[in-house]
Parts: sequence; C-alpha cells; structure tokens
Amino acid sequence: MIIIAGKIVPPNLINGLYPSTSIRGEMVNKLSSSEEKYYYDSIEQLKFEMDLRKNIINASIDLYKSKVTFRTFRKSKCNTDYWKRTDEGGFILKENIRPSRGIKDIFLNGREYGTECATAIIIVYYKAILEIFGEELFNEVFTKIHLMNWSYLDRNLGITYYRNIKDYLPGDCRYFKNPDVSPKTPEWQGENAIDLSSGRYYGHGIGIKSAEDIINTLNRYRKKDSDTSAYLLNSVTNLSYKNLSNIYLKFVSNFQISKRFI
Amino acid sequence: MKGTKNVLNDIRKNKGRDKLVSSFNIMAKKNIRKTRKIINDEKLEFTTLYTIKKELERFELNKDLNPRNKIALQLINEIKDKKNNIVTKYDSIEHILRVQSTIKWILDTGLDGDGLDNEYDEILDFSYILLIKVYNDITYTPKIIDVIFKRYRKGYYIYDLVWALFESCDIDSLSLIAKHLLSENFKEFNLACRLLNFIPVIENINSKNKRDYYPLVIKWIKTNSPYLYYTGESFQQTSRPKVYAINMEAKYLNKEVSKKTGEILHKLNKRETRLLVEFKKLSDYNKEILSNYSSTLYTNNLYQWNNFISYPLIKQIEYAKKRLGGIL
Repeated sequence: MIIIAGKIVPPNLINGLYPSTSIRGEMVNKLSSSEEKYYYDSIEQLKFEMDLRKNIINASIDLYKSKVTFRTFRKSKCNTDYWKRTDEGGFILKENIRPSRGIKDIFLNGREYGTECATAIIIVYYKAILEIFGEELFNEVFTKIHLMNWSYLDRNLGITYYRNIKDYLPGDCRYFKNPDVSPKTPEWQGENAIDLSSGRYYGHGIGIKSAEDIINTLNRYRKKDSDTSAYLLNSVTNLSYKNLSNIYLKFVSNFQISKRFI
Repeated sequence: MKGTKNVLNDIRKNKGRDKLVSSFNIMAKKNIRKTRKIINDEKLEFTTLYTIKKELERFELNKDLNPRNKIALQLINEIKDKKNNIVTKYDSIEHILRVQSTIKWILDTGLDGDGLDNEYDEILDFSYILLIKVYNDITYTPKIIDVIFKRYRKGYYIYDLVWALFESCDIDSLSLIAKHLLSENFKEFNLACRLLNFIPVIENINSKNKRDYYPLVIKWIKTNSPYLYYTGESFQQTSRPKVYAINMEAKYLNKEVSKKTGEILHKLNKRETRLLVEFKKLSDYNKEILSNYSSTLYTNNLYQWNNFISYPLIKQIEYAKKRLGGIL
C-alpha cells in the first residue's frame, strides 16, 4: 500500500496517475496493491521515483547499445580524455571535466570503455539521474565521480542493498548468483542486472535477457561437471529515491522562486 | 645446486628485472647446459621464472624445463586463454598433486613479488583461487590477508583474492583480519571494517576508539565462531556484504555448524528437534535474545543451562530477558 504524508492512498485514486499498461502504471499498481507499506512525503516524491526508475530502464538499454564491452577490472579501459584509469581498474573523472560530460561520453564513445557488471550499474544510475536532474544540478551534486564496482559510492546516491524483499519493481538492480563458478572466471561469480519489466533484465556482458537466459549464461561459466545452477537472489539494490527527490524538488522549487524575482 | 643460492634469483633481487633478462641472455648464449640446470634448480623462485619467460621461448628451453616450471608456465597461458585447460584438466592423481605443489611453489616464492605487474598479480590470484576452490587448502590464509592489505594500501586490485579468501570458509581468517583494525594506516583500518561488516560492533568503531573496540570484536568472533557460516555475499554484489551470519538455532542449542552450509553438524535428539520447532516460530528479536543467553549460560554454567533448556520456551525468553537486561 502507498502512504503519502501519513495517509493511505486507495488504489483507485493512485492507479489513475499513469496508464495502467505503462511501466510507471505497472509500478504504481504493484506498490498500491502490495501488503507492504511504501511511504512517501508527497505525490511529487512518488512521481520522482517512478520517473527515475523509468530512466534507469532507458539508461540500461542505452548502455547495452553503447558498445561498452565487458572487461575484468584488471583489463578495464576508459576514454582517457575524460577519465583516469586507477591501478585497481576503476575510473576517476579528470579534474577539469564536467561530470555530466564524463557520463555522457561513456554512452557516446562506448567502444573506448570496458568494465564489469557492477560498475555498469553505477554508470546506468548516473545517466538516469542526469536525465532527470539536468546538467546544472547534476554537476553541482556529483562533483567527483569514481567508478569501481560498489566501492567509492557518492553518498548522495544512497545506494542500499536490501535482503529478503517481497516486491520487485522495474528499475531494481537484482543479483544472479553463480555459486559454483569456475576458478578461472571469478568475474562470473554472479551478475548484477537491472529489471527492465516484462521478465527482461539487463546484465552488462550478458545483454538483455530473461532470468532463465541469464542463469543459463552463468551456468556456462561453472566448474566442470558442476550440477549447482546459478540462481536469482531475493534481494535488490536501489538508489535512495527519497534523498535524490529531495535534492531535485528543492532545486526545482528554488529555481521557480528565483524565476519569480526576475 | 642444493644448499646454494640461485644466481638468477640473486641478479633479480640485487640488480633488477632488466639486468636479469640481459644476464640470462648472456648466460644462455655462453652455456646452455648450465643455464638449463640453473632454471630447473629447486631454489629458483617463481618471480624469476616469470621474468625470463619470454627468453625461455627465445632459447627454446621450454621443452627442457622440469615439471614444476612447465606447469607454472602453462598456468600463465591458461589465464591468457581461459579455454585452454592443460593444467586444470585433472586427469590423474599424480598430475593433481603436481599442480598443487606447483601452485604452492608459486605462492611461496612469488608472493613477495606481488605488484610486479598486472599479469603477475593475476597469476597469484588465480593460483590462490585454485588452491581454495580445487584443493580446499587454507594454509595460505595469513599470507593472503597480508597481501590483500598491502595491495589495498597501494590502491591495487584485491577483490578476487578477497572473494577466494571468504570462499575458503576459514574462520581463523576473521581474527587475522581484525588485527588490521589496530593499524595506524586509515585505508587498512577501513578495509578491515568493510571485511568484518557482519560483526555488529563494527558499526560503532572508528579510528579513535578502535583500541577499545578491538577486544570486543575478538570476543564476538570467539563467542560466535561455532555458529558462524559463510553467506556467499561478495563485493561484486554489494558495497557492504555480510560475509558471515550466525545460525541462531545452532547458537540456541550450542551446536557447531558447517561453515559452508550453515547446517548443524551434529544429529539432534528428539528433545532438541522439538525445541527448534518452537524456536523457529519466534520473532528475530526473541531468537537473538534467547540464543545469546543460551550460549552464554552454556559456556558459564552447564548445570544451570540444563535446567534452563528444560523450561517451556516462553519461560526461557522471560528468563533470558531478565538476565540479559535487554542488552545484546
């Protein structure tokens, strides 16, 4: 159920917010019909989450099309005009480069980049936020970007890993675990993948596939003669939609106030 | 060559890699028989072999290498071409044992050279992963923990080693990691906190109070070791993996668990099975209180514990809450 500013919002009221066949509509329906409680401070906050989730899906598809390759951290690569590759295999945005430009370049010059699946998710997140925030706010909030799996995360992203989740929504990052991975390919010990809705997932290095196909791909990287299959965990990783919406809504409100005084 | 140092090792250590390569070239041109003997000397270190691997090809010495050197070079090739499995095909016991002893030689004589270059470090990682995943050999845990922290301080890649270390399910690794909480180096301290993130007191620890908290961390590890199991969570999955978890049921009954599966290792009697049926119905909060109290009482006074465990579950919870005063 959806609770906005302390009040339960009946499904019939909230479900009309988006066409029921749209991804946003599907997400709102799922939240409002769930037995779990989902708290929002305002309807704008709810809308922000739905928009950002939709953007995560779009950014995933864009990254898939971008020709960014799958590479282990030891062999990772980046466009050195914008990023510095660290000894660890991550990428740090160069000092004189605007963060929005650095993120956009990954999508424009994908062939110059190669990394693992977790870093790809962070890239997707930044692109999705950039699309909503716009360049001015994005560059103001994310002044330093360090891309390296789930490490060195910007606090404003508020990335959190939740275990034993009951409801899954498009835009969630899920994890496919491969417990019997071959010792030769530890990079395939699992796959982070964005839920694109309709049973499809984007996992960097695997592509846009069904859960079953992702599992089958991971199974090809198991120890010889293993009969333990990869599987999808009941956990999710998400951005802090609340924190990001607060940043955005404050910015929008300040912008409108300053516009009134011009 | 027994009892003497290896000349190639000495050149590398004292004069560097370039000098080793040039000296090897001169040596091979001058006396190939002697060179062959020096390479196959048991004292040769992996770092030396790695440094001259291209020269061995150039002088067509690969075919004359001893099995240890041949396997080591084949392992390097397997990393480049992952479909190649000459070393990891495991078709005979003799071969399996020979590979194991080669891997140990690589680690024994190669870990000091960690950081030589990316490919070299990858070979060390691969060797350790094989040792854990194929041979279940946990004897290198202390050395690997040292390498992980050294690399982290320098900003080098650690995550494959960290993954393999935890996959080993070697519970002794925890107190070895915890020692780094006392490090004056902030990065080292920070990594120890990240690796031990599953220990509740870690949340409150910082660089100022670490000396006060360190004994609590060690106590926690010691108290909970019998009930801890590996969850399989990794840094590829989340920034704060909880690598180990407590089996509360095992702690409640004071039974040791398998580190790999979390299952209780001993067969339960009828009474214990009945107790667990009731225990499983409790809230997580009550499970924690009860298991903590039961485990403490069991350690301190077995006679009282026998009385306690015979009470109905509701009474056990009341008793535990009173005695623990709500402090976990």
